[in-house]
Amino acid sequence: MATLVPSLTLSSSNLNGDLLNLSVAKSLAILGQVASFQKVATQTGVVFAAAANFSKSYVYLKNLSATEAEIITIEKANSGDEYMFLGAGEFAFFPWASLVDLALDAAQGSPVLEVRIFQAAAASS
Amino acid sequence: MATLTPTLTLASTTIFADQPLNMTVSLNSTVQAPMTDINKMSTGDNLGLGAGIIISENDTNNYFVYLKHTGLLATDGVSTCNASADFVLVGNPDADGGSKVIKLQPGEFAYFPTAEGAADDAVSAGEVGGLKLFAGSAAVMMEYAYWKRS
Repeated sequence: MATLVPSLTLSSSNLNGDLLNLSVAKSLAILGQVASFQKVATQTGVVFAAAANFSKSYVYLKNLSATEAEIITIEKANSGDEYMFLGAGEFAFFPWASLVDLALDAAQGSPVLEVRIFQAAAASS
Repeated sequence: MATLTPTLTLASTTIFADQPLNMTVSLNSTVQAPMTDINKMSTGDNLGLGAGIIISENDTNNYFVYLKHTGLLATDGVSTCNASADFVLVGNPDADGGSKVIKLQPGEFAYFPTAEGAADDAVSAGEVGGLKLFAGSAAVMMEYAYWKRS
């Protein structure tokens, strides 16, 4: 079994009149698939992670585009329910329940989505 | 308006046999109200939108969202919850099964930018929009925050 340690810091000096400086980390047990790839988004939704191929997993996504209008939408299927909205350079990290597929499409252009999927050990799922 | 700077690091020396994983990403994001500071709530708390609902079904804003399962039961806020049964699913307020993308076990966290809801989304419409916490078993304490994307 392998261990993945994600850590997240959220900081700001001008929110709510108070400093924001939050740091969280968690050691995660990984057992099974690790998938690391880049996918080109188009205006047609395409599944990039099928729920049938994974159990619960930790997912990292990043829109590698530097063009503001090249927004990537994470959705269930082509024209399906939309979950996330990744602008240029934006990223997400979340434990994916693997109950539904993850698909992507682009508002315009051909932005690239960086994808990393780490399948959780059974005890964490 | 304000600036939110999320920084994420993924590190491992055991995932790959011959190469450590050590990557960091960061981005300054411009945000504005509506927004929150870090909050804590039970999965069963009603903040005025319904039990467990953080963002309304028909909210048309895009948000950056932080969620963390504290691993503590809501009954007293200090007892440790069951590591397996007391997970939290995150979905939309109308409980559309297809919206439950995120599953948090104790101690796990998530950071993501949401897609907006539809202003005319009825609770029965089964569309994704908003954010609701669904306890797997017992009600647990969660940390959350959100900031509207400018």
